[in-house]
Amino acid sequence: MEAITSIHSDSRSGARRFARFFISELRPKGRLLTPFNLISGALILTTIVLLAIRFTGGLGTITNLSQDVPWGLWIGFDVVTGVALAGGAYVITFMVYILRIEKYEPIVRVTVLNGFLAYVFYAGALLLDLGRPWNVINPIIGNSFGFSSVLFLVAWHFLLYMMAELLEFSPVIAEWAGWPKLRRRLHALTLGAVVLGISLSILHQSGLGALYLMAKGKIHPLWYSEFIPVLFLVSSIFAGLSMVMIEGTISHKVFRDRVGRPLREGHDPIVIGLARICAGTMFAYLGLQIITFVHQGRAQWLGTGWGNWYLVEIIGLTLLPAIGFVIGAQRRNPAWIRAAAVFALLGVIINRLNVTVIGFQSHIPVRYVPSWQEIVVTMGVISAEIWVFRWVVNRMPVLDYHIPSRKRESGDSRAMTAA
Amino acid sequence: MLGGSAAVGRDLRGRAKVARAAELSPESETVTEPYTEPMAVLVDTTKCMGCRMCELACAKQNDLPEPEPKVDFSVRRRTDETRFTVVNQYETSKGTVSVKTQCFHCLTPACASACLTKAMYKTSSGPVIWRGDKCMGCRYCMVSCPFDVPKFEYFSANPKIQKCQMCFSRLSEGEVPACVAGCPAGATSFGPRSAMLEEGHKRIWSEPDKYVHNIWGEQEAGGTSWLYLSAVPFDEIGLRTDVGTEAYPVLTKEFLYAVPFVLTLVPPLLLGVSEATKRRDAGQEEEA
Amino acid sequence: MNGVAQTDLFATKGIEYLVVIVFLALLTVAWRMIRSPAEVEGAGDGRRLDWRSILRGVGLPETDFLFHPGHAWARLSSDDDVAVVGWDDFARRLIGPADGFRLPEPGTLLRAGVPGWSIGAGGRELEMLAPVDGEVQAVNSAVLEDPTLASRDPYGKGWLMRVRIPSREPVRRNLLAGRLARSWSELAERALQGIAAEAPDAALGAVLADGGEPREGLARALAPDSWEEVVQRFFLLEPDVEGIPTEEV
Repeated sequence: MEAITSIHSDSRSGARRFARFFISELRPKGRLLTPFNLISGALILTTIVLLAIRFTGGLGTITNLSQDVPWGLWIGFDVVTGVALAGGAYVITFMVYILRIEKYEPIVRVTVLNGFLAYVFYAGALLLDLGRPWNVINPIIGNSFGFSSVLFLVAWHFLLYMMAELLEFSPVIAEWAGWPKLRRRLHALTLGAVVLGISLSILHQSGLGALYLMAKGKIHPLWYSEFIPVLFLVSSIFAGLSMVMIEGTISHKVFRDRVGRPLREGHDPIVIGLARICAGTMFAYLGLQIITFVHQGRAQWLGTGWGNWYLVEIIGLTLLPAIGFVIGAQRRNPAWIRAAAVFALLGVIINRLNVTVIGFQSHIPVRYVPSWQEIVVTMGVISAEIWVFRWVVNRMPVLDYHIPSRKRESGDSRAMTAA
Repeated sequence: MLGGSAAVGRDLRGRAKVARAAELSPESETVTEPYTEPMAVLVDTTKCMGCRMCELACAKQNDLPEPEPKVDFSVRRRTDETRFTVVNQYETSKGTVSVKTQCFHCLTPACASACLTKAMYKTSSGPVIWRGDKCMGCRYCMVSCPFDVPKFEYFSANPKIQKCQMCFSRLSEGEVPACVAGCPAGATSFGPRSAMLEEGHKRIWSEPDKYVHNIWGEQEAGGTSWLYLSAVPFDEIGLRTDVGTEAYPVLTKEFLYAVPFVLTLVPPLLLGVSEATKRRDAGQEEEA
Repeated sequence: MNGVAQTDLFATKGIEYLVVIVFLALLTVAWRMIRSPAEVEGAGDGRRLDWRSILRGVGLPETDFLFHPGHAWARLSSDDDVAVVGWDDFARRLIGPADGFRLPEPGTLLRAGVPGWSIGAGGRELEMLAPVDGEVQAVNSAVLEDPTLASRDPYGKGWLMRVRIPSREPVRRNLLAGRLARSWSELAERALQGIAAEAPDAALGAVLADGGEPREGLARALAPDSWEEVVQRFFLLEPDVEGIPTEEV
């Protein structure tokens, strides 16, 4: 029989106990010198060195940014694309907590965790790009709120959304730390955090697109339109879900021993369900793209080099993956779906980069190409995020947790004493 | 693009004086406005000799490196973080024309609208100034400006956004901008925008064959504070004619106006759906 | 076109955002008032607790269920002074299908540890100890009409009564939850197995080992002659009980 632990420990020893527990949890599990650890560790170390150079000598020391191209890879990829890839969190929480589609409950925790970490690290990447990062406090607590600025809105939404995601994830932390009372209280706040998170997500996913509205003459007409915000919002849905599918595939291999039964058994139906949702969303997105195409009079560009690149993005990396999702869902074939997810993700990445980097100031003589340092820092940030993700998944009940099931009601009545 | 970057490092120490001039002008939150109506500068390109004394005057006023005595006008010159104004020469259908360009101090500037800390600030006296104590260096103003005017110090640990400030500090002392004062040909005039427009139209009507019948900047990008008269079409002298007549911030208007509505409608909608699915789930017989 | 300053376009933005913040704050208040009161009761989210999941200790039970050793449970609702009371599925498995419930009238005062209601099964009436002190506010009429509801969903729609309690602390202090509940439930299961080992019907033991449940309830199946005493022992209706924790907590 298990010893009955006292539940009335005084707070001081509780804090000390938790501190000891936390420190013990910091110790790495598993082998240290895996290829992944070596590569990502090297990237992170190099990133730290590069950032030291950047903060002492200015942005120009490690980036290829110029007076014509003030935003490059860090904004265009880390922030604008990275946030789109984190869109799975608001879609999945919508389906689980608002629509109460039970099927997706096993993945809600890992998706919220990923969403939270993505925003923390990519908003963090934004800080690295600022010329005067210490002044970032100004639009937050200062009295110069630039209300007219879309960036003001995006920055505030990032902040609030991170807090909402942390709130959504906090019951998991309370479970891990062994604080059931706190856990119950936090769990009661989940619906509010989810509602807030979805509302904020809608606005800042589209807001990232709205950032570029004033760059009217600078973005190639094939990618500029007044509908960029709507297109970004819709594409963030299937970008996020594709990312969920890909991360799920990887997690199931890497964290095999951490995956609980509900997730293991539920995974294939989840993937097929998500594939269907992606297909539908991409279909709608393509409709929007066609409307925009007509509205902006883009036909003149077909047949040019840029036009062909546009078609690669729309047909090759959006229409084809959508068809792939449909086929994969109909044949219940996860391999088709995984491939489609990769291409769909690539399509969104390319689309975002087209708006922010590739199609941005495309006519100037010295085109912007990210420096190797910018790429290394990006990969260093991603590595750091994966490290934190791995630490959390290996310790907290993210992939394996008790899921209250409503279905068992009818299932069990046969086992119960029948009236 | 980053020409003279080696010089920038050295200039940083010298620039401290300029920085103070621009950063100190609004020490408190409220900017002390020197004028009660928006001021503007009228540039008559038919009078400009291309002597570039304006560049020198600007450099002296702002403690920037002196412009090089001889320049190659065949290469289009642009402002950068050490040059707030440049003169270019164009071979046009009516001969060589010299044109001084700098920040145009739009009436409804994209940069000020884009700035999330109000560091870029449109004063009601006309100049669009930059306030360093607020700036985070996000460079969104650079992305938004249709003329690519704001320039960033990429090699500084405490970088500034550099552009023409229309000598706001001089205006506060009752003076005209340094470049206007330093022009020996009288090609530039400073005064209230309404007066400058009248003056410009007056010149056009008195000599209709001499000028193009438009003032550049009257409506471009919603109207600017630097108005140009020209003998030849403006695109021949490097002034953009494709920026439209609508102020650039209008492009973000619809999105920003939608935000409060989304925040007001989406949460109740979500809560309502969550109630509906809950009831369907639990199979409640009693309705609210 | 003189002096159209940029602030004119977005002059009211600051106030608008303020209004939105106030609106969202008021929304939380309004929502609580608008939403159906059924939300607050035990049936609100239809979650079912699985006795075995408590035993397995997978995660922590996502509920506020607090157990009385006599196999009744209390659940503190979001209202400060109301607890929902019901019976756990161990009791349900023990007794088998209930023929009827005799629940107290609203206004009746309950005392923790004192019989609070009774269940009719197999022709007998068995009392259960109330888990909390308080005044009965409402009883679940659905269960009175259809007693099998309490058997099918003892933690959800089969709740028995709502009780107004003087304070929450004694409830939390005196009832079992979390690890303690797990330990206690293990003891109860073991006692049950002990009885099963002495059961006259050996085949029944095999059925139980497979996780199956006899239709007429475990008590009646294991001790057909003395099942009422067995039930009373588990429900702590007898003063001396072996192997079941009583007032330890």
